[in-house]
Amino acid sequence: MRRTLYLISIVLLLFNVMKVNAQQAITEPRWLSSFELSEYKNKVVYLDFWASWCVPCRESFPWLNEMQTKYQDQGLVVIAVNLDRDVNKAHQFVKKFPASFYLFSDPKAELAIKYKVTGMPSSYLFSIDGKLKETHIGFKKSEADKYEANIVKLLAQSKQQ
Amino acid sequence: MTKLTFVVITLCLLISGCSSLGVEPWERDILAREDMALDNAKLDSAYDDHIYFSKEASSGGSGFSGGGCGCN
Amino acid sequence: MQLTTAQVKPSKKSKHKNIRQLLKTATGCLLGATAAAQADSKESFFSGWETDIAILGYTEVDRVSAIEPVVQTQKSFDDDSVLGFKLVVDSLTGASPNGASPSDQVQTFTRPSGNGSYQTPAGETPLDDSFLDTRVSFSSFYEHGLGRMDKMIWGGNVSKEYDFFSAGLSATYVHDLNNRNTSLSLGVSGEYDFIEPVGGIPIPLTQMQAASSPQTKGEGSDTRFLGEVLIGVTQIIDRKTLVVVNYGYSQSDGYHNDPYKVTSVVDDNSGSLVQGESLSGTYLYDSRPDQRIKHSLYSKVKRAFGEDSADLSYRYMWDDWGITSHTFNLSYRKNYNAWYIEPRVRYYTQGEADFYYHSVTESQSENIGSYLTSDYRLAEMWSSTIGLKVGFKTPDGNQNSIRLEYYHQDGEKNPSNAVGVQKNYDLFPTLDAFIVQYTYSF
Repeated sequence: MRRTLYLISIVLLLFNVMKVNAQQAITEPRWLSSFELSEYKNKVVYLDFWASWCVPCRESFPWLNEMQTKYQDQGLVVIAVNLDRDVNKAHQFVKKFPASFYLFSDPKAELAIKYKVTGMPSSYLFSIDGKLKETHIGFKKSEADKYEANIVKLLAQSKQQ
Repeated sequence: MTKLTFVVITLCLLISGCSSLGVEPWERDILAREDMALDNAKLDSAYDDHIYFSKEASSGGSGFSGGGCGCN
Repeated sequence: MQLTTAQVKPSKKSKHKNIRQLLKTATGCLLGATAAAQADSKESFFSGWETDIAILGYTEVDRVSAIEPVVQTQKSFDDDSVLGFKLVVDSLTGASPNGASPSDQVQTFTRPSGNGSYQTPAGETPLDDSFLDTRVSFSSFYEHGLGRMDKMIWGGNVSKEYDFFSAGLSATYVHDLNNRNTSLSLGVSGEYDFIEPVGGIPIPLTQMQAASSPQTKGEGSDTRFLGEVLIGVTQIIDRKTLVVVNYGYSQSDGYHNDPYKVTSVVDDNSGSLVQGESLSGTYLYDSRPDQRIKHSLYSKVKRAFGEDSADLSYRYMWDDWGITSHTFNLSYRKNYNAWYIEPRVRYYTQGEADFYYHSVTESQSENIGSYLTSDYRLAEMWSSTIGLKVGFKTPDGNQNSIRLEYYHQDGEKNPSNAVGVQKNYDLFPTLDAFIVQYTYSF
């Protein structure tokens, strides 16, 4: 029993070391100094509102990384708007849950008010011509496939245009 | 009965008066803290309910008052 | 590469986490193995349980002591539903007041079983020292959403002790509005109790008989039903404050007597014992109405002060037995990085039931009416609790806490209607108790 535990621990330990290294190689958080949707012409924009204290946001970050990596070549841009009053809390969060997508700090919640955010996290998907195509509140792993399908669909439509 | 009327009126006033109170969804940082949760010490309250139920004439209030206990 | 999507965990904690995971799985198996719900298809049903284990020691000075271990576990599923289980074992030993008053003579009482007797020296509060009981209670709840703004919480519990069985069900509907700043709840519950006292059910208002004589006991068991409605409003006031107001109505029908309690009948002038039918004193069995309707109004305010928080609550309770009570509770939690300290005070006061008498005189007893109790819990009394809780997080994020409390209960020790020798004795059995609790959450 104990031996098995040790074995599992060592294997997981190795895995974690590898992950940390891989992570460090890729991500230095990319914070935008400003955000205007109109600057992302010809891009499908996934706008995600989050905060450091929001529990489901922890689950959404790895998925957002996955989407960014998988679809950036096809024209997807993921931008996560942080709504913490104190941006340091966001920095701490990103240390724990690294982000390979773009980040933007909105401590006065100007964007959140503009887009009428009603829950945390809230996600907005925009087509290449800046039209809001899909929105959802919260993040559920069981619905991640649905969120992804929406992105894929919109990317496909953009190609046809 | 007057007490009951009082209760009902108080609740109605609370509900109608409360629509102007509150915070925006992104302002829940403090309320999301573990120590600000209403049931942050569920076990302690359950222990207390059991002890006081068996020593005093009152029970419940914050939740159901039944105790599943023959101690009172 | 999919590596970027992996969560980064500090590697040195992995071993601890694995052991914790095993523990979690084990408790999940133990408490949740029979549940069929499998809401999360991507993860195993047995992973992700949050568990608390706790043990409480309760000791009254010269009276009852109890040990009460608890295991509770719950899991939040991806669809926002929550399933939880709780197991409580409560083992109790010691002496408890039997309701009779102190006297200037030695008093002899019959044990509830009718076999054997015990004596109380002159001047002392009569205590039945034969209390020994173990209670096992199991409860569970299931919470699930009905859209984003509504949810239902279902609860069930069964509890068994030597002379008592109880089973209950509850359903609560919660509706959020005002951008989730207001939450309304409506709950109903029903409980069935089965009481089977040691030695049978005493016939109310009959005399306790000597162990050698035939006992005045009737049926072997009786029942009670309890129905409740609870309505509540939770309101977020601002970023730091929230308020709860609840109103509860409960009605219970059936057996409410305490089968182990008696009331002393004393001499009109001397206040001393009155020769009974077969004992040297006269003691009448407890008699209470077969219905009790209770109302409660409860309010709580929670407020953050910087990193700290305070919790203040007040409850007003009234019933149709003539009891009213007030309960105040205040705790303040001082948060430090990995630990916290939380002092607490509670004050409780209640008025007596219409049919409460510390004892009755012989002439009073002749036309006492249908109901009579000398149970101190239905007397006018007040109590205070002071406590301190210290909590700390282990490096891998598990919570530990220790809680110490002192409870003092007091009542009218020298009531103005005490007769003769009664004036020399304490007619309310003052109680002091200590509570120690350790909780570990993983």
